Amino acid sequence: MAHDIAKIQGRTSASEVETADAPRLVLSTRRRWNLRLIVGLAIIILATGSALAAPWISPYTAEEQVLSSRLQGPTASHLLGTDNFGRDILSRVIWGGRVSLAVGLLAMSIAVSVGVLVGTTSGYFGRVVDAVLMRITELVLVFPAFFLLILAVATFGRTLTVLILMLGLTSWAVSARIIRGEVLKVKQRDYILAAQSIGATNTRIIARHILPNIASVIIVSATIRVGVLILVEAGLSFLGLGIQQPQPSWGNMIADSVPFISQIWWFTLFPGLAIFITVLGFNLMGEGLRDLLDPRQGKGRAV
Amino acid sequence: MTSYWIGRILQAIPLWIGASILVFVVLQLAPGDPATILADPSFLTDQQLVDLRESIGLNDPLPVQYVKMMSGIFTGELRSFRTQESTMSMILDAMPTTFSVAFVGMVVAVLVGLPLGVAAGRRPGSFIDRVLSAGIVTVISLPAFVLAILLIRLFAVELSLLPASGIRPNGATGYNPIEMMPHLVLPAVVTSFPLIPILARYTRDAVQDTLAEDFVRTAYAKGLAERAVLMRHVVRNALVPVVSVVGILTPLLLGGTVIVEWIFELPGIGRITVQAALQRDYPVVMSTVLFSAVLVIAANLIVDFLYGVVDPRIRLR
Repeated sequence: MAHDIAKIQGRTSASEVETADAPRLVLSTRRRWNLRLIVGLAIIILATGSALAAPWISPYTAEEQVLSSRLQGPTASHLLGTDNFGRDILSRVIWGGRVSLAVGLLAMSIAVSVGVLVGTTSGYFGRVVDAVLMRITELVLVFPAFFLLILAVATFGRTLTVLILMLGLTSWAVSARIIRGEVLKVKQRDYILAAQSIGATNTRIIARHILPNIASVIIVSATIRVGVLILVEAGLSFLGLGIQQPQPSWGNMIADSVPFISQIWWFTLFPGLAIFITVLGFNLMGEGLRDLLDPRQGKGRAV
Repeated sequence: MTSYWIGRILQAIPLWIGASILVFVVLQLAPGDPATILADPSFLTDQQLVDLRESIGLNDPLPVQYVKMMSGIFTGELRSFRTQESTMSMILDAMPTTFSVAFVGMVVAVLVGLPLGVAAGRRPGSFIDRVLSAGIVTVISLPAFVLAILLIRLFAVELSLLPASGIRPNGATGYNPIEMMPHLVLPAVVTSFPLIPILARYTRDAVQDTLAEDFVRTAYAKGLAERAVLMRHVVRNALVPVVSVVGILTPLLLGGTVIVEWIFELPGIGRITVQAALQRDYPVVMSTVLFSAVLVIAANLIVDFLYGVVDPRIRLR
């Protein structure tokens, strides 16, 4: 009983410290490089490195077919085995990583750019601008992203460019909402009032005072978004609505493997592991960055 | 009270109209002749193409085209270009399958995610909490379709315990829950999988926040056992934010059913959407995409209603 009360009091005082105006001391002890950040960064460097070096490190080309050696298990000449056309799975995983990472990073840049633009405009100017922009944001959010993407791909075709554009344009709404919320918080600060009172222009205030103060939130959510987008691209390619054969992507490799599920498990497993490890890398790095840049936020919400 | 609900339902109408305009605009932005998007030209003669342009009113002003297209969904005049079946009846046929998968998946997610979140939230920083947060990062990084394939390999191919495809046994008809049950096990597991970490994380945060409330301290101070405090005061209050997460999860849930229906060959809305998209059967894609938005809007209304149930204060406002 006494123990319980002590525990409650401990908790209360801890939460008081967090709401009080002097949390610096607590912050400095927690703001540091951490294991998740290091592991995440290592995975991302490895994945991007192998994607960039694909022409040099992949033992075969991605599309080279040797029909006499179809569906082979891992051997010395094919480290991860071969697929149903006798193509080297390791080479296809490496080349597929190029596509997945390019799609994830480029689509993220589009999503975050639009999100920052809409979020800051909406949060900073408020009133009618805010009302209109937020209604549009709600409209995008009312569609399950996957359905909207299928509509877009069915309309504009299944090329790589369309895929990147559409992934970006269907996923900015979440970023816009998060950024708007952060802008609303920062806008209340005294230094914004001070900047306004000395006659700084709106553009200057947003660029010099608001964006730097919400940068950590933007960076964290952008990192996690890359992982989400890689998963969505893999899902679309798996359904046959994303990257088209013979270009390899992790999603369409897994789709290829489905008919052979009862024969060879590595055909599904290796591209699956590639997706899992890469996305895990971005998620770990996102959470690690959050602890490094903005420890007040606590362990965060990935969605 | 009634007027409040009528008001809420009326508020949802502009959202639906906006959604339908968005879909219409996407169609207008498409490159080339809309007639060739609404029907694959390689399947049509020139005369049919002229008739088609006339019948879908491509010579009408845009607002008229819009109204015709939307009313076409409801009257059943908007038809698949492959099967000539009206898109409305395709959706109505597929609805029970999608609802079963989504409902069972959501129930599994809540049954697993909620207790996990409570266990972690009552002792922040504890072993369970750290295991959970590591588990969350792992699970959200795993693509659901890879999980589905591995589960099929293990339970359907290797052990022959569960069916790998279909919504009911061969030869059966209708929606008999007992016949459907074994067919729903694997789809429900895969559907619930990405939702569990999100639910668990929100529940954890909500429980942690609620534990810091004054009324919890009071409950402890008057000598209630921890179990009673947790069940009667903490979990009940933590449910309020958790219910709103269920609403936020609806789009994700519906997106998940697309892949699940595809892999397990369930004749639901996701499966007909993908099939139609692969065949460029535009009227079907348009109708199902709009329908998915309707489901999300409806789910948000239901969540608002549940809000009132778990937190009576909201009803009084």
